[in-house]
Amino acid sequence: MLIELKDVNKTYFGAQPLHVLKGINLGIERGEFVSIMGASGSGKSTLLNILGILDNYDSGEYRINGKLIWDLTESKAAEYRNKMIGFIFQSYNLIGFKTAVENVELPLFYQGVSRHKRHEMAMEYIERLGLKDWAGHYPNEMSGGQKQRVAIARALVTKPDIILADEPTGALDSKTSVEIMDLLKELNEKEKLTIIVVTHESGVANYTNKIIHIKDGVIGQIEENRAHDSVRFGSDGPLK
Amino acid sequence: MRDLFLEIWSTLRQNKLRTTLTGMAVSWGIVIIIVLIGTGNGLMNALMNNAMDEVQNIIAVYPGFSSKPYNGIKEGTWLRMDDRDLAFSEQVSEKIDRASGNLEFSDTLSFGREALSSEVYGVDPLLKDIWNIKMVQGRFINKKDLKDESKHIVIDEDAATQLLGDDNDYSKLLGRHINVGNIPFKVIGINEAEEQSWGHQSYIPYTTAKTMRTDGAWLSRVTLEFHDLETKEANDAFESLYKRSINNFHGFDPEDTRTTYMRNYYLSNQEMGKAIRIMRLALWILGFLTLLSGIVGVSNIMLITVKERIHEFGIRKALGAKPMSIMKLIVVESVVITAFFGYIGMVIGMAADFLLDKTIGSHPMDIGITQLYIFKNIGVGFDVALEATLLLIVAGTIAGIIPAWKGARVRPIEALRAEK
Repeated sequence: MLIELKDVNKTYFGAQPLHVLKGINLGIERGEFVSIMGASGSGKSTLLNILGILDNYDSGEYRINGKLIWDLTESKAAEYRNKMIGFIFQSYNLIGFKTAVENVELPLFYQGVSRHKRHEMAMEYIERLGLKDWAGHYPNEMSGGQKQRVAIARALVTKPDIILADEPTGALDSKTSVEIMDLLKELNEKEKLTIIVVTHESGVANYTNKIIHIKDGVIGQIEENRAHDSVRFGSDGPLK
Repeated sequence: MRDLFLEIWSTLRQNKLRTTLTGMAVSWGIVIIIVLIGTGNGLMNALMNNAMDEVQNIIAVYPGFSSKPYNGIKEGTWLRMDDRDLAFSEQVSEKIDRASGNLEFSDTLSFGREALSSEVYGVDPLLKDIWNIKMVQGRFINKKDLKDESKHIVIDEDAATQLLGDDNDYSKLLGRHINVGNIPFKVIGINEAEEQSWGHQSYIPYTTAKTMRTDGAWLSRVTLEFHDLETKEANDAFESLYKRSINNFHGFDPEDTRTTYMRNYYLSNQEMGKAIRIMRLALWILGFLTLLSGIVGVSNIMLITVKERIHEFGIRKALGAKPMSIMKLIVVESVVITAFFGYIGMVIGMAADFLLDKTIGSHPMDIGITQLYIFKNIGVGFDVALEATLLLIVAGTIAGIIPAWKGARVRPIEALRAEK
């Protein structure tokens, strides 16, 4: 089991304590392509943050590849994120004053890879994602789809165990959304990458092989979706 | 390291105007420091007229007058010292290594048809350093001159020029003979004329001067070379011992302290050094306070920058940046800004010092009876430049530390949520 969550709880202590995750039990195998689906407020973002070691949990157990993720120092958490997880965000989160290839180089920089080597590796992924001519361009010179492909290259370049995609099509038009989802699907099929997509759009979730529904901080139904016939893409959004 | 600087360069490029405006406060602070210390140095140089560089173990004894009658000696009797006192002085304490004397008288120097009146000092070679006599040609009186009672003389450049008449190339006088009174002396050296003195000074060997005095070779000064008198207490004890001994030797009242005046060069140099250090420290503090406003400015701008870059730091952290690496990024950026603009300030400050030196540093002030240099050799040395560099690095770090801490502390989820 690549990812294992056992009775994971998380409460936000504000003016009114908010119990967001109420005992999450979940297992994801290596090479799976799954989506976590839920409405806003369901706890899916919190779950994503915990899966991405961006936030900690109050009780329970979270293991990646058998390694317990608990009580990490900030440096250690950064190191784990760098090695094990590749992020794809809704708003791309590229650094504006860096070119496409420099953005892709960044995770390697934090691994201490030499300049020459990391440029070479970054270029390789840029080319694989069909952005060769755009390598020297800045994010504001690119379309949304291109930006998201740069972000995907950045997520892939460290060869992480898990790709975490947070609403990867949220800022894209329907045509580009299809392209990006096709790309993720292809990466899962050809490269056997473990990809977890967090979304509230059923059309996006339908691309994945397994849909995990989360509601009010607990895992509801887990739907096998090999046939990709659960929802027609774009059936629940005004645009898609 | 190169990566770090490339990162910083790429961010600095984006805020050129803002960074420049902020940096100017730092430049200004450094200009103030360099000008303050430069003129401070000039002031001290003029005051001391480049006094002795090294601290020497020297006590000067000047004979004075008795202040009360004693045993048949009337009040106001001059303590006449001569060679016997030198021999006696060496016996007073084992701390005295050597005693040497000085004679002085006025005489006429002449060369051909030109003549002038000069103060003639019969000296020991060690006076060159004590009086800070700077040679421009030839050499000063040496030990051999002293031993041979040679008729050698050192005169100042003004005297040399005057003696040569219309010819201004005073070096021609070197090796020629001039008359002191009616005795010929060979000119072996020409020294820099003192700016703030009236009349001329010439130097001949003490032993030679002694033979020229028919009315008694009374010393104008005794120079004691000593060891181990390095505290005020030891010096005071020695001083009263010496005064009592010399009074006894001459049959004066042993308790009369007015018969001699003594000056310990070692101690006064030490005092002077202390005063200079205090003054320099005060100037540094003044300059630093000015610089402080620059530092606050840089710190402020860094804080704003950090705030603007919160989202970026969040991305970096999500991708694996450790808090330390974010911290380093900000502190080094702050140091780079401070150091860069600091160096601009240093160059401007040094140029200002140079200009000041060429203006007020090169023209004596007329104070009526004489002309006086208030500043001399305005400027700072390599040491100050080095200290200022260090100060800049420290200042940059101080300016960067709070913003850096804020930047490093940011949690990636909050930062990622931050509006771009």
